[in-house]
Amino acid sequence: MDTIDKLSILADAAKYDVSCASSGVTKKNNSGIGNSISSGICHTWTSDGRCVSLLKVLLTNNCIYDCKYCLNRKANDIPRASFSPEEIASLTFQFYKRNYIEGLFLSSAVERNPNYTMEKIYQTIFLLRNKYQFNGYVHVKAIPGADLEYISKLGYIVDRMSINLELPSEQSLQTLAPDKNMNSLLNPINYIANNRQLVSNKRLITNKFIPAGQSTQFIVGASNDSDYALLEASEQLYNSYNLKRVYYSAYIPINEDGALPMLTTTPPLKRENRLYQADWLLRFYHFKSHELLNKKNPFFDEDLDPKMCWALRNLDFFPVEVNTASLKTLLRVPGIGPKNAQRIVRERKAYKLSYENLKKMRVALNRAKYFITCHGKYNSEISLNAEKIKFALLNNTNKGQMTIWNRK
Amino acid sequence: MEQKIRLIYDDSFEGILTCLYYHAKKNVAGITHDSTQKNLFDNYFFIKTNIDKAQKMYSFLNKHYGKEFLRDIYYCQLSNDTYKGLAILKYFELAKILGKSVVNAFSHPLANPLKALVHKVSMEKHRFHGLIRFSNYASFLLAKYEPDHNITELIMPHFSDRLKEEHFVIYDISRDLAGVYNTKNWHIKNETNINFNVLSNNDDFEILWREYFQSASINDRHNKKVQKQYMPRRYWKHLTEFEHLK
Repeated sequence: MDTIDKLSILADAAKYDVSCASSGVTKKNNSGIGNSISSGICHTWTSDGRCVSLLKVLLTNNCIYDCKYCLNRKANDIPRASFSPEEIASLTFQFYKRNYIEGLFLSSAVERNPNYTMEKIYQTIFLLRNKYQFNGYVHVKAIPGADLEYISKLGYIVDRMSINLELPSEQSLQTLAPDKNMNSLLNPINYIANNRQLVSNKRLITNKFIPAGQSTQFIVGASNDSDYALLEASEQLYNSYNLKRVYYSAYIPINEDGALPMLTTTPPLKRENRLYQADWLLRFYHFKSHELLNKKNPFFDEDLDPKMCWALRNLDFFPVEVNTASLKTLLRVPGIGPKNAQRIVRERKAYKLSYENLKKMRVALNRAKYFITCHGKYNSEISLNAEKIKFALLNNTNKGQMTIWNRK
Repeated sequence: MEQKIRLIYDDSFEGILTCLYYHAKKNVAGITHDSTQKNLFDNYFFIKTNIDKAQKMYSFLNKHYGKEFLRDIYYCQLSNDTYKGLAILKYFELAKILGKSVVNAFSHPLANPLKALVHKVSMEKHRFHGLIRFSNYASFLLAKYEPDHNITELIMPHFSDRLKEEHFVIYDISRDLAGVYNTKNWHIKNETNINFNVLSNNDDFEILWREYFQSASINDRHNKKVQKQYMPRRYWKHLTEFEHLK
């Protein structure tokens, strides 16, 4: 089989992994080829609007497992292919040299057994780092069930590692991924977290262990788990294992199974988006999951974003005076993000900020205006009333208006 | 009526600093690099770039307003905006009032025109760290592109670190300007008159890249609008993955 056919099969099979980040680590190039900058770099955008930063491929799609949600489950009759370590290393190097990519995201189906697969992944990265002198970004997906020794070996030559939990509860794992269990997934996550802590305590500068940290992914909408269950699980991962990022992937029905949504179900993109927004609120806005959802209200609102919903439920927190409010308080205002909150704090030292200033800073005033005062002045025609604000928001945006009329 | 004095400079960083030097001596009403902006009622002076005066101004600005202020002026000067000279002049005026904290004045009417241009230039710089595409020739790599702003000298450091051991050229077609790296250091070459037609390359990796680009897209999530939002159509011309559009 030609490289081009393998690439077609194994890129297609890898694309449902959401992660493509090349961020989290700054490296200068000492010799050979490649460096990385902590903000990450996007190289292109595919026709689904997703950014391409890394060459995202599977080593093989030959799988011994039979996870029901997965395209590569062994029961499926699909074309199968495997790359050799040399093929992937060469492809990565050549793409990188032409500036198509920031590096490699290597993942794999479980071929023969977890250890065999991890060994091949290790060989690939070893070749890339040594024969090709490649210093660009490498993200590897660890194979659950493999000996921790492999994670330990790989940890010193990759930038990021991830283990995809896919589902937030033991129960849904049992139903949809009978070959996996929560422990086999959490073990390596725990191991990575401990090892990173250990290595950073020793202040080893030359040998960093997974310097860009670990991430994971949940599938949204394949099981019955609520948004609250997913968000709480993410919060725990951030707190207990110091994860850099949790990704959410709207389930795209590819397999027919009684335990899964029907093939005609459209992917829950809106839900995925709300979880994505809420996840940012956890990481950069100091929100806690229980502030956004609870057992009684375990799902996000489709019409309004999670931060706006929180604000409308907590009107006594507002209005906030932009010239005196703390950074943390500003971050709670809908329409003000971390960048603008910081700008406000910096700029107001020089002079008092007016409504015009915020406009120039491109604060999203259509949302923020209900919740702030500038210099004591409240600049919205509507008073602080949840119903009225909600009505105004949904009628001001064409999108909002359309959803309302379509439903009724 | 007293005529206002306006300065015309050669569109260089040293040029704009020379103008600010004259402005500090005698108030001027405007600075422009574009002589078509002249109008009948004002007095125009062509300012010859003076390295010595520029250096004096540089040290003065660095001492009083800091590195970030100089960086703002440098980035703004690289933008393609007709009124960038005036934006820089206003920013300098505000610096006299606010001192070092001028760099935080994002939304002040005297600073905002400049800050907006600096933002555009920085954005495009970051974008092209990703969107530059090299073609592979026997002894070197060549990237052709048409950025809105004059960002070649801003992106050269990134690529000379990354591709330390490669010879490469990044060529700005519309400005006829090339960034050249020879595995040791880089420089900018103006008026290159490079004839690209003599070069031909037959590169399997370009075909593989196009195949990858197609395969990585999820059809159920088709969203051309977002694709164009992040990667405007005007950039597609020189991207290997859209070769079929040529």
